[in-house]
Amino acid sequence: VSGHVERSRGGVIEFDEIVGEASRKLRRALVARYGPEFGAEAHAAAIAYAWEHRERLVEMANPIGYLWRVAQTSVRRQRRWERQPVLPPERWSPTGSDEAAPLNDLAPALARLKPDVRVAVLMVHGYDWSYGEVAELLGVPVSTVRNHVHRGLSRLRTTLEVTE
Amino acid sequence: VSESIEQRLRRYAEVLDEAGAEGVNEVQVAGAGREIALTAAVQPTERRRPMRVVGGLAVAASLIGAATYGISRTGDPRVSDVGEVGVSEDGASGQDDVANLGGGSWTSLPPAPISPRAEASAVWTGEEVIVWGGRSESGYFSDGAAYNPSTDSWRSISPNNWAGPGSLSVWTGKQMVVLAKTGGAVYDPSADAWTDLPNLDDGETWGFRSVAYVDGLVVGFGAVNGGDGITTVTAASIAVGDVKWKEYLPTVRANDLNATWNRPAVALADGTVVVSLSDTVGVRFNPKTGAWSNAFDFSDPNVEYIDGWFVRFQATPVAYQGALYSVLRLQRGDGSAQVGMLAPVPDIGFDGTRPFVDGVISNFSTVVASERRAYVWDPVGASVRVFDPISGNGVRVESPPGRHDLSASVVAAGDRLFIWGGDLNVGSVPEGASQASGDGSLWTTLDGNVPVSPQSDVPETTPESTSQTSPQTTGVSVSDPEGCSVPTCITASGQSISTIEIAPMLTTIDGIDPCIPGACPSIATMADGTVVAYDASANTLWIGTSPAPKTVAVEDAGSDGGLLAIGPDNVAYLVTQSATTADPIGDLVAVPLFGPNAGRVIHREAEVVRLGVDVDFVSTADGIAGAGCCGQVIRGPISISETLISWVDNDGRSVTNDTAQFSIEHTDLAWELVRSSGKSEDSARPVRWVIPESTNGFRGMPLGVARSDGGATLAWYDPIDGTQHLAVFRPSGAIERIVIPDGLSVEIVDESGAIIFDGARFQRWSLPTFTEPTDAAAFVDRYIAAEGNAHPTLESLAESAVSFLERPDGCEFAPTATATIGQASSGPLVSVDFRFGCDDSGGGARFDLSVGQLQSGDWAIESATQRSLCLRGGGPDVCS
Repeated sequence: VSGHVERSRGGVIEFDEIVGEASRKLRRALVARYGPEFGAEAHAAAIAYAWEHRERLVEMANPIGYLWRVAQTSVRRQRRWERQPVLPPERWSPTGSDEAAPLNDLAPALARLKPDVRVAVLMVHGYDWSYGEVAELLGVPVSTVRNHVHRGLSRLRTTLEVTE
Repeated sequence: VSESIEQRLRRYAEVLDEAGAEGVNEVQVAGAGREIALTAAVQPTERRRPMRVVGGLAVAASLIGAATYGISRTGDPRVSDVGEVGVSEDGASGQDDVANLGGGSWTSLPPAPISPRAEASAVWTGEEVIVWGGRSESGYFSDGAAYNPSTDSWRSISPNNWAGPGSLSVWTGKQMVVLAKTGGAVYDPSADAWTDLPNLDDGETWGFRSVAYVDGLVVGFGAVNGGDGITTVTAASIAVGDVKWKEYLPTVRANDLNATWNRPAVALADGTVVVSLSDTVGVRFNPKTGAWSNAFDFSDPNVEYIDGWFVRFQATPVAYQGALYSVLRLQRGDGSAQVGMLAPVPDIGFDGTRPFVDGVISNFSTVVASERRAYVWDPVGASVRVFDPISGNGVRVESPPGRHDLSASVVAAGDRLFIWGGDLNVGSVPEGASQASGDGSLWTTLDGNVPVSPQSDVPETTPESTSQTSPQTTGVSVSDPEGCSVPTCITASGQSISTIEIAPMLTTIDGIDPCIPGACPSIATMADGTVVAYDASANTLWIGTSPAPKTVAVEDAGSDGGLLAIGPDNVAYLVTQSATTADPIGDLVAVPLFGPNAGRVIHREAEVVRLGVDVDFVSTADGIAGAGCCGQVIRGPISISETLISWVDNDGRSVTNDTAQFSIEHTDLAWELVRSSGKSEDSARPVRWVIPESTNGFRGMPLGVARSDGGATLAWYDPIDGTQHLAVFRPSGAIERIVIPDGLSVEIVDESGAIIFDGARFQRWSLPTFTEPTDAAAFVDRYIAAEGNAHPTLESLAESAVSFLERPDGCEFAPTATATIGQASSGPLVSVDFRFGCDDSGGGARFDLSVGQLQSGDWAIESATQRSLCLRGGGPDVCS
């Protein structure tokens, strides 16, 4: 979202220019948070909200963090009791040496992590986000993200009985 | 080699990407042995452009020219200007209708006999609004109450232990039926008693998402999500008193619908029910025959979108006198939004001639309808649109007086609109940190009265920042100004605000650099600024003592720990989990850094912390407490908890922190930072500053320190835009805002400055330590005493003043000064710009010297006015 926002064609702000990259990042984070189904819906609601408030959004230093919270609010309103996300099963990886190794244990292990911990782990190690980027998204200090990632990896290792 | 967790996560991220990938907003209808694409089925006209979906967001694919029914702000008779009453195409605005629509008033409801909550079920019985269930942070409720608008009073109703979460409700004419998951309950107000409904035989296969009452049947709708992304919509019905649900064959298959979310369902006069499946798509169901219609679009197929594309397009079905209507919300490319009410022609089409009420209305709006009116309540825009279903005329009315956000109970009660409860956290607070409202508001239509003047819809704007203002007059109030209850306290009324960039002052902290991902230590600082880090994975405290750091192994602290603070007597306080406590419960422990007990847990408060919730730990005079995030409408840290763990000395004996403390207080006008002296200080008065850029409140408890020099340092996040702020508050009232470059976050503020994390390493910032410019009176006195005060020319007086000011004045960096000679109304004016800092940027002050000519002909300073610090880094012109 960062970057200069130009006006063109009669003063209409190029919306995609404003939210393009943030939208993609936000979608990944929301899918990590709520699973593909609700995550995509929450993303749509957030982007719609972004459009409504785009004039204000371009002035924000951390629009993705703002939209993240908008998405939270949207989900809070819409979802009633579904709390644990339904994550798709993991695929077999050719890089793994043991084809018999369980491939569907990562998703449920991730689903059992605390939401912000799951987001932090997936964003940092799945999508190579920096701690700072995750902190901006979640609106927490970087130290909190570090702790989330550390805690999340530890729990995954324990759950999956991985020793590295 | 087995694949590492990190590798699996990276690979799994690709799976998630695909699962959440962009799809096609195609709705298919299964029936009669054929499948028809929705767009083809309901949009025979070519005026409607195909849609593509980006993340579930409908976006017109291409721009074509304006057509006959194009919507524009001007020139389209169907569209009124912002905030005005809509006017029909035939030009008959219908002033009576306008008066009826706009005339009315808001009243606050009396306190309800039940706790504040959100998502409570509510129905209008014709006499009362019955509110039942709902939730708050503490869980779901099973009690309820009924409000009678004719007596403006509440009564309690019998509780129902069924307490289904997220319940749906409908009024049968005699009873209130609530449904949730696979069951429900019935409340009879005449007997004030509940009876349970049976559960669905399908058990957990599907749950209710919508409910309607038609022809003696309670009809519940639900959805089953297949693993292939296909959502199957299904239904069941029951007559009150029956012991078994009648379940129907599901017939509608839909892709990319929101059918798993609660959606409105409306009963029509012909005995059918129309249920909304997504933002614009619905289906009609006949519970007597079990027949489903094709999916159809509630929106207006004649609407054209001249700005190329629209973003949000929502249509909500409502019933009026048994016929289907639709409240349509759409948004144009120029940013304006419209909401209007569409009449049915004759079944699922719309005549497209209804006026819209223009202006911003959020997608969090709630639509309800009675036999008289349809209402669209927008909690974000704090407004209500009131529509007449027949004419379609609408008006925007002012916001209700109570505090409501999302998930309030909203009911159209005849001529009234009832709003009660809700969450108080629009767009600002993450899950788990909300607060429920117990406020209620009632809009009562006053037919025939003078219409309420519609208010303009003004998009939300960020309050104007005070940070970039021109230099303001520096002033320190030492009197007893209004609003300051403590004599000689310093108020914010005269404070100056400056912005300072201090990036050149970064210094790296050795020993905890770099931070290894996944094993970064948490850090805190001792009173002297020494950094202490805790590596939970190694259960080791690292102390950045000079000349060599020291490590302390922590005994039996537990796991998953983090360092919270270093208290009095250099005792570290950790949050941790012991082997016997289950997630998310944690302990707080005290571990001395030095002495014979170094590394030992000398004090433990077991199971006092709930990890993972939005609580910040705050150091107080007595120990560590918790502060919730975030408060009420104006956001900020909410009530500080009791002390979770007390300060102890090296031997485990309780002690207190006698140093100065700070607090955050909210007045009617602003957030204020309050510095209170500690026992170790003189009986100095509390000092207050208005915190700049805090209009939006805070997210969590700000980081802060009450410094020994009488000032304070504070770092905080804006809850709305996420920006981080750091400011140094001077005893004089001056405030220095520290610019935080992108990518850096403030981890700690302490007596020595601040510790910053750049994503890879910690760095210490030495915040500005220069003294403030000498106040004008002292300067004049000192100047005269040191240099004399008579100069043959103005130029020599100016040169002398510059020469004097260039001498270091307790500043960390030698200041520089320049003078200009001007003319004021009272006579010549010599202005001396005084700049200080480590570079030649604009930080400093200006002295305006009023001069007079002596009988000898010499020039002398008569008085001086000091102006504030200037914007450092802003260039030399900022002081002009």
